[in-house]
Amino acid sequence: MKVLIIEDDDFKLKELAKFVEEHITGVHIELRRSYQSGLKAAVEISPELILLDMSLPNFDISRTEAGYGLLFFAGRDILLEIRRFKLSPEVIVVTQFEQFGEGDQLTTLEELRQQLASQFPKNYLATVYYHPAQDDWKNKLRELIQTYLNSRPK
Amino acid sequence: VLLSCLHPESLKQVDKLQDCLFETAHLYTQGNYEKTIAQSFELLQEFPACIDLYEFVARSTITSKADLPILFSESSLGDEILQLMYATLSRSGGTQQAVDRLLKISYAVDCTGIGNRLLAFTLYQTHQNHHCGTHKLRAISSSRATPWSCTAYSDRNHAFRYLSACDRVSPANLSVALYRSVLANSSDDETLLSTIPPYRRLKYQAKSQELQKNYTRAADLYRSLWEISDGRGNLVHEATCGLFRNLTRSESYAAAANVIVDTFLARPDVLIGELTVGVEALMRSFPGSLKDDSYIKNATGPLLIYLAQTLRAAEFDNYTTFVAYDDCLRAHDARRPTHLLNGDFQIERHRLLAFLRYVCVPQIMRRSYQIQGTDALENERLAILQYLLVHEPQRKSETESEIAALTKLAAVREALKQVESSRIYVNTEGIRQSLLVKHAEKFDRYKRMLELHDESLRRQLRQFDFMEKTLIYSDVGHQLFEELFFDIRDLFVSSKADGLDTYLSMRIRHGTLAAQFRGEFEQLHLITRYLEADGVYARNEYWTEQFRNLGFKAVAQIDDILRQLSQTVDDLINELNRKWIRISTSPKEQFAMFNYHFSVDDTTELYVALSETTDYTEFVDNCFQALWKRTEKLLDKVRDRLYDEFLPKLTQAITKAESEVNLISSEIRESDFPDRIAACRTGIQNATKRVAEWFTASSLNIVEAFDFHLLVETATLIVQRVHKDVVFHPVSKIETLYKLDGKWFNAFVDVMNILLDNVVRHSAAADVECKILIQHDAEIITILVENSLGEDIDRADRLVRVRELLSPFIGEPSATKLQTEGGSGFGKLHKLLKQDLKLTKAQVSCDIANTGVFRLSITIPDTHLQAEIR
Repeated sequence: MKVLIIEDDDFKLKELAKFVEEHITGVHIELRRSYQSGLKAAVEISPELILLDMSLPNFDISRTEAGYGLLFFAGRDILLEIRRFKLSPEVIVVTQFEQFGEGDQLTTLEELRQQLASQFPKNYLATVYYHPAQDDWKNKLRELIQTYLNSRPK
Repeated sequence: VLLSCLHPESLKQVDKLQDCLFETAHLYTQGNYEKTIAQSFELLQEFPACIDLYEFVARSTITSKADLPILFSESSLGDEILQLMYATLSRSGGTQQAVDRLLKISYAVDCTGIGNRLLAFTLYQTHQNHHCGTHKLRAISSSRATPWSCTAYSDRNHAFRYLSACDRVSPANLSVALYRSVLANSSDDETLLSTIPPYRRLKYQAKSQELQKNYTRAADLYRSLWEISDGRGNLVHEATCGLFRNLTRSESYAAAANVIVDTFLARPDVLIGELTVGVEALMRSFPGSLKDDSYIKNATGPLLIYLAQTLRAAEFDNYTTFVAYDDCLRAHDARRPTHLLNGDFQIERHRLLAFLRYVCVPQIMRRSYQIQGTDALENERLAILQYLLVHEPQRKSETESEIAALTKLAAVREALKQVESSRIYVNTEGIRQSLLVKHAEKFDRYKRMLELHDESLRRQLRQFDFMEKTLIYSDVGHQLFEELFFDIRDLFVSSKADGLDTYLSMRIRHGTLAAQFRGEFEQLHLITRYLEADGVYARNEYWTEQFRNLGFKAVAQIDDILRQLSQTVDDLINELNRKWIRISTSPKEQFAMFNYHFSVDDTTELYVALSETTDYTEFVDNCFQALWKRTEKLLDKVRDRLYDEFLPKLTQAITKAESEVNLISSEIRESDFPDRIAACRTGIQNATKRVAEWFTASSLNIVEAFDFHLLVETATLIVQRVHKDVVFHPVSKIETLYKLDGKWFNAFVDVMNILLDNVVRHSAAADVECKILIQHDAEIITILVENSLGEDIDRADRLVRVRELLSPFIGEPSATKLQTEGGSGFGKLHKLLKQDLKLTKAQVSCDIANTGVFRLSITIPDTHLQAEIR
């Protein structure tokens, strides 16, 4: 089973990868750190499950790449593209923010949950609130992964 | 006019103006434009407030393609109104400005009849079919009752009654007959049609078909009108609006969208007003219907969306434009816009050019996963612009400006890469020059010793202990090697002019590293600055205000926690700066991470490895190589320690502060405090990544030559990144095109950084004002930096202190000041100018003007700085 994790926070990325490895037997994990590389992987490697951050830099940040700015709703934009290309991965949004965007675009986590559920009924599974010092996210994610694994055709 | 409309039977010849307006309308309908203009001109002498006459003149002039006559003295109100009405009707550039100005004038003369009529004219031109009935406003705001006053009626019968009354006033008036014909939908009245110009015939036939809901036929007639309009703005506008209206009514949306896009490309001024509303309606209601192949392939979709955004006719996010862009590329099997440049694609040339110019811009293309990275993105845009430069020569200057802006952006980014990669630096050439003659002589002795192949001849008693009866011999060659190597090592790490420690101090420890980490906290208002005078951290005003409702006690507790966080962050940074990023050559050193101690085993290994080297230059090179190899290993450890020790400690401090603050009140979770903490966690990871990148020994040499623009912009960007909590946009005036050799770039950036960093630090303002002036005259380059001092700053005291700091500029740079962090940086400035840039005659001076403006200037001779002209 192929799982794609798209996350720019290294610590969170490692934690998520470790968690997925522990909870899905025989999993193949792909890690990406930006909107662009994440989208490319989602299209080209056809993962079955995606753990997706909401705010991401446009490009992978490196010594020679500053990232071309932060996209507040990069996760939603990736979901839009997944829908446009009629791809079928299930997507769990894992975020450590309770609000997104700025000014008129300011959206709460709950509003975002509702938007994603109504906009992407075929791909969106749920949103998990992540906090590095708490374990709640692990329970929620475990439950979601379990449900997902049980619902997969054998 | 109202009275006549309400009681048509009362309509009669009231005065000369009314009589003449009927007559002028007759002439105009007849197509006798020359006479219309002449008659209007005559009447305007007597009735300059009659706006209908201005309109007759403007319309007749455009339709007959004549020159606009001069009716009034230049810059009089009458002249301005006529010019503006002409510009509005002709739709050939400046229409929006003319409309805006007419509206302004109409408001200014609101109390007069002119105001209403001008307002009616302007609204009618921009919103003919507006639901509030701009045509009615136009009809009733005329100076007198006229044939077109009949359009004020909603009821046709009433309009007929009015027109019958008009017959009494002006029998056999062609204008009255035309209105009657349109109202009666009798567009086949051949007698009438034969007497009016063909374009008006078409217009009224189209209107009549539209009223009868024959939209397809009406659209055809409007298209014919457009075809014979011959570029006359008023006709093109009427034809385009009518065509668009009837195409959408007949649900030919793709065709309607094409009309809009073609009009935009050929005659953008025609879109002002009614068509903007049309675009809005089209985009709001029918985007799903616009999926036919020609619509996508011919770039109609992306251009229409671009247009809707530009006209602010509809709110679209960039994603909608991106999808239209991507659909268009996919329809042509292209991955990037540049794939469309070579090949035979089914896209009309003018559309391709517009698609490339307006839609294929970085903020749209950034979403495509076919373009990877900022460089690729900007190169794609540059390639597009190069193509446009050749194929749209009429827009050469606009294209060149964008190319220049993009090139500048890329140059600054590249320059920044070079600066960031050069923080770990040793001037090995400088060291080579500074090795004394004695060193070479010692090398000769060492070489002679190596020539003694019998090892026993090189032995020398090193230690002895008669009691223990032990004698230790050593190899004299090895001993000499150690001396030679350690001489080089000591200069490599500690030379005040060229060594690693000096550059570590200047480019990393001197506030730069602290600012990278502090900046992440400060921009989220999580920490405050230490107040030297009070010996405490400043109160956190942001959260004090945010949490005011929690009460004084809670706010004080939160403030204490955040002050503690400020202290912890500074302690960790200071530990990193003062204990870890230090140089040592001692084996007992515990903390300094740049440990250049070489044990006997290490030197023996090197001694053996270099024993074949007999050339002095090669020997020195090999020693440098060994030192760089050690440096690489040490840098690996520094990076590891940053990730494994420093970052976790910093993260722990954040988490601790977060939990403590959360315990104070449950309401804190409802605030944006948790999100700021989360953002800070990611922020410090990125800062760690950035800082870790500094600790690499492979410097990039990108800048071959540079001008002062590049220098100022690069330095400004660095200072902006360091001081994220202040607004800093210096105004620079660079009065020279002088190009400097790229080898001086890093040192000049260091110089500018010191100057600009001081400006920000000492301005004591959240919005720092700063001016930079650079001149080159008589072989002297002058760099002048000016900034306002805060009100609270003692100017005289500041001047004395700065002059004291500048005093070392006489003589050699002070070694102590070179490696002191946190001061003004003037010691380093001295070293940079005199040693790195070899500007021994450089002068630095300062003064404070009465206005409180602090000025620091550097004058340098240009002797050896210029780039080679290739």
